[in-house]
Amino acid sequence: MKRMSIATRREFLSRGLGIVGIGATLPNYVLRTALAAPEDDSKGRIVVSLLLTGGPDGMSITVPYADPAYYKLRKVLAVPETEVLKLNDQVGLHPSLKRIKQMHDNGAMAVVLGTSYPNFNLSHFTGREIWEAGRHGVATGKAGSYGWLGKCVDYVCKDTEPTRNVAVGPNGLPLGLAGKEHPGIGFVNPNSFRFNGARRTGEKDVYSRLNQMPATAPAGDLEFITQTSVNANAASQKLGDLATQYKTPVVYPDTQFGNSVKTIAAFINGGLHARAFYAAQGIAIFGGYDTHADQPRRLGQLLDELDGTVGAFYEDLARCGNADRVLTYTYSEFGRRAAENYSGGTDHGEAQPMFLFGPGVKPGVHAKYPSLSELDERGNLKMSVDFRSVYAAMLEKWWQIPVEAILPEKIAPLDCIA
Amino acid sequence: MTTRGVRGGMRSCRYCLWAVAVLLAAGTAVMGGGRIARADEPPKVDPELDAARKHEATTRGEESSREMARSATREIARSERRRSEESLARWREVHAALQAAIAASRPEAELAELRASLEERTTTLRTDLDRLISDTIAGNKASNELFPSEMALRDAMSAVRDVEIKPLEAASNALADETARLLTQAGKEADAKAKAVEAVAARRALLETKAVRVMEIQQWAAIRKDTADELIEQSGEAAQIARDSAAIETDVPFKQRLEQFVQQQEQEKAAAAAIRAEALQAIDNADIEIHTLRSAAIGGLKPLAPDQWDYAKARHLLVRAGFGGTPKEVEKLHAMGLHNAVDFLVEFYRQPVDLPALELTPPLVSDPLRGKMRHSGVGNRAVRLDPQSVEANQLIQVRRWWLRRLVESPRPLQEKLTLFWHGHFASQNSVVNNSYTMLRQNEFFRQHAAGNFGAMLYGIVHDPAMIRYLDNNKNIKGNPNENLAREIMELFSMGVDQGYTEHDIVEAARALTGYTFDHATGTYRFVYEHHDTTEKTIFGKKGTWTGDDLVRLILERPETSRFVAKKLFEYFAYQDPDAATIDGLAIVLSDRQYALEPMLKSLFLSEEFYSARSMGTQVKSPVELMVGLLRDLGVKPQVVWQPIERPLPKSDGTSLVIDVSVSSYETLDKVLGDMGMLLLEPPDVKGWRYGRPWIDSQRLFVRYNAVASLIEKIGSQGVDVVTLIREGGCKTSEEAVDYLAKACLAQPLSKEKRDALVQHLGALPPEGEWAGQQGALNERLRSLLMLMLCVPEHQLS
Repeated sequence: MKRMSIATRREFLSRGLGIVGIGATLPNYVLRTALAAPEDDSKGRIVVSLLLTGGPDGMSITVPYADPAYYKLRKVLAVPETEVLKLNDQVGLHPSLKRIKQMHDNGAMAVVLGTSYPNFNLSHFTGREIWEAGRHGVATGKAGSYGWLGKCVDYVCKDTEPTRNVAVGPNGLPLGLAGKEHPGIGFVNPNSFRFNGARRTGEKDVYSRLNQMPATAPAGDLEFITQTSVNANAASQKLGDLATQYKTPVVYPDTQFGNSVKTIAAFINGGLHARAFYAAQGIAIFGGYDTHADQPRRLGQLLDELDGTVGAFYEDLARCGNADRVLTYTYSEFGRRAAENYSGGTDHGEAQPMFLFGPGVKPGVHAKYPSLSELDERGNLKMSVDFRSVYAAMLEKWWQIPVEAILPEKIAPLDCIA
Repeated sequence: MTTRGVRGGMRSCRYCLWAVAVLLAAGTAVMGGGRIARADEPPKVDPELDAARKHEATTRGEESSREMARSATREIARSERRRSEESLARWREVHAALQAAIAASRPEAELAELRASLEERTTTLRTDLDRLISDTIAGNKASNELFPSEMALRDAMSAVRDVEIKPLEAASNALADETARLLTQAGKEADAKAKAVEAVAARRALLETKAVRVMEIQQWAAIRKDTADELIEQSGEAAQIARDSAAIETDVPFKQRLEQFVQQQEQEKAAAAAIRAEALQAIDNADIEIHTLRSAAIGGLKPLAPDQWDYAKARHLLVRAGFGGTPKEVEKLHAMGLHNAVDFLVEFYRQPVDLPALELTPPLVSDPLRGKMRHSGVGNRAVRLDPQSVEANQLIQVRRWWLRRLVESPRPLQEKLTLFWHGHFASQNSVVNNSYTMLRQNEFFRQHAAGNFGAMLYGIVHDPAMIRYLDNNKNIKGNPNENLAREIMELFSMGVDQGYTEHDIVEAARALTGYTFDHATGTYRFVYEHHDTTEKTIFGKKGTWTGDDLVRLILERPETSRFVAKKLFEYFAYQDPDAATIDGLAIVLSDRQYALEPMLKSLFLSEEFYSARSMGTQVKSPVELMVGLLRDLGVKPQVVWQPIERPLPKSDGTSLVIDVSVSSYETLDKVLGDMGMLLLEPPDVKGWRYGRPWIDSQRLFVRYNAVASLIEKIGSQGVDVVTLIREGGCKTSEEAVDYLAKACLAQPLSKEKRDALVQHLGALPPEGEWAGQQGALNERLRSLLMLMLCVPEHQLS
């Protein structure tokens, strides 16, 4: 029997007549893909998650400039009050964050202070997994491990379109984007986001046949890899074209992170029906924000890059009328210790500020600054708000998803989304 | 005389060995039983053991006297052979001279003299042959009487062992029962654990004594083989001399006697050859038995039955304990048998390596004067003097140097383990920024690859690259930096949240204060003034601990052996093993004070390692994918050490390699980076995440494209696929597809996929025509291979 080669839903529907004959042998997910009506979500709401790798020093980013305790804890590292970009009479931004300050003034930036979670973990890896899963005990890269954004995409999109959740950059797919029906796409650049091997006659066809999901789906990692291959081949042309053909007058920092976020803008402005994106800052640059030593120089470089990238991103989105439907948030595995260390740096700590960008936010400073005088027994800032209440706000207000459908329990949303 | 001396020496030597073995076994027996005899107490004598030993002594006496008789007669027979040979040669000389004289019509007087001489020679030869015959027969008799005597002594020695084994067996069983009993009782976990450790030691003593028993039997087989060899030599040589003499013998009865002797010696030789063959078989059988007992004595996991060993398992072993290999290499490993194959890979230090070492200049200290220099001119002229540029160049050399070892080293497991330790004790050069110390660290991992984990943990707190990477050079008395202290417990030894508290980390950081390194030489340095000498409490133990003490305290924790065992098992076999599997390996580690070799052997011998959960289920890391493919096809990329004079362009992650050339290690290095595995740059201190995280849509394309472009060019690297399939005995396209799939894939292709590939290849011409169409046929086969390797199945090993 000649096998039918099905790569995408569109292709399937265009061959729809064949379904009567072979439907019985088709795997469920193909049927679901084929039968679910495509939603008109070209104007659907999007969440972009930006990982600030390494645990940034919140006290240098959102500076409690009016608190004398700050200068006692940070004899060397304190940002001078004269340089702080003030948000209110208590808190101001690091001097590198000029465009982010501008966004705040324009009503498109909110910052939530002192975010963390109960049963805090100071491991880089466990910390990141908890932030990306929205719960404890989910390990990256295991079958059945899903991230909170992946689950959102599964909830919102009742199809298996592969490009609903896309991670851009060379560091692979994060746990946060992994969904059950939507494993997600990792993308670096168009030249390499396609199969270049088939050059002779017939090779393309055989390649397709060898990279299809067989009628009886294999088990375990082989199924996962086959599904990834099916999705990649289906998305290759579309993402490649969007990235190649993108032209923008907006200038992004010419760095890995800057270029990754620019590609996200290319996808959104190009009309890709994606709902969640991810990019990471800092992996390629000296361990990112994990500034145990030499903090001022390294943090300054990273914040310059963050500021330039986020500023360019929203300028670019606004240019095409897409800024309103894109909500961006930053997160990291943890914050840093309140007191500076001897090495001109800071050690792993607890509470950290979370940025929210986009016209959809309720602008300004949310939650209270953790007390600098009442630290926990390890000298950490105590958390003032569970980060999942920010997720809850995004779920209820932004996506209209019941909180408990995604998070392990009903958590009250923080009032940070308009 | 010399020969006798050497033989005699060997003979006494084998008794020495035996005595040493007995002493060792006795020592083990005492230790194993947990009984330590006090010097002032007369040792208790077991009557059964006493009887067995007495019997052995009697048998030994008989065997020695028979051996002495054999040695003496053998030497006499040997000298008779030499004498007869000489006699025969003299006879021939005179005979030839007489013939020459007759031919030359010499005077009769001269001829008569020669005839008389020949007559004399004939008489002497007959006398000598007479002695040869009787002394050879006496020698044969002595040898044939020695054989049963050797066997009797062997059996007597085994009987002593059997008696010795009995109490060991009883002690081992009793401890095992006691452990099992304690395990069922609530609140007795600690007692059960202690008993389990004792039970393991007792079982080991038992199995080792059993192994020594078989080793002794094997030794007797070797002696028997030597005795047979000497008998074969004796009768063979004597027969030859008699045969030559019979050919010239004119006296009929004597000629008949000689011929009869020849026949008799031929029979003697055949009988000895049969004994020899039987002895060789016994040596081989004992080998398997010794291996099995020794690996059982290591403890750990249940070993695979040797008869389950097949080609697929040999390939699995070579791929996992290395990176793969050509069908010939797999076949070689298969032919070795399970135990020898595992020994061959794990005892890799027996394989010589002729790859060059890499010499680097020591680290470059940044020069403040250089910062004051003005620019020399347009472009990057003379920038090579810039320390940063030299550093970038060195870094690339280190990576390519290592890559070459990964692809070419005859010790694949050593490189596979070096890669493991690099991911386990991860340091990123982008943070360390010092290729010299990274190379030293890499050499440290290679040197200790299958050595001792404790030594490794000790080394890593003294390792300059690690000290720099985790900021321990900033960890100073009064201002501790916790980075190294945290990761040493969380990632290097115990596992996240396993058996330590945040307080332990704070205290451990103080213990590690003052452990720093010297920038100018890139070597470890301890700064006493920076070390906190006050008391610390780590894992509830108080002391003025140093970093060295910290390592010891960590090694004493039960979490450590479990964590290391689990991580190694997952690296080599499969993820999330059962607790019993981990415990089995962990106990081998802690029992052997963290020596890695016994644990690795247990792992690679285990049924679990060859189970369905393990074979063909592991997602290949990028290094495994690319190095594996090069090794499967037997390709060695060219080595080009070209200094790079310009600083590297800034990496913005947007220029992925599209074309992989096998002509050098340069593109291989880059493409591994694109797949997420740039050597010396693990993503963070946790190292690379193995398994599914290697695969996403982008990386899958990079993997497919790298493999496709590599296959495109293997022809220019001397890989001839036509020759490959000819060697595989393939005649048809089906056979070619199946053979190549067997050589490169751990997961079988479905029938549909196989059919698609067979169809794509098309019918092969008759083999006779292959040579004529070599080029075209190779291109078709490369196309087939490319498609066969750009599939999900090839991502698994």
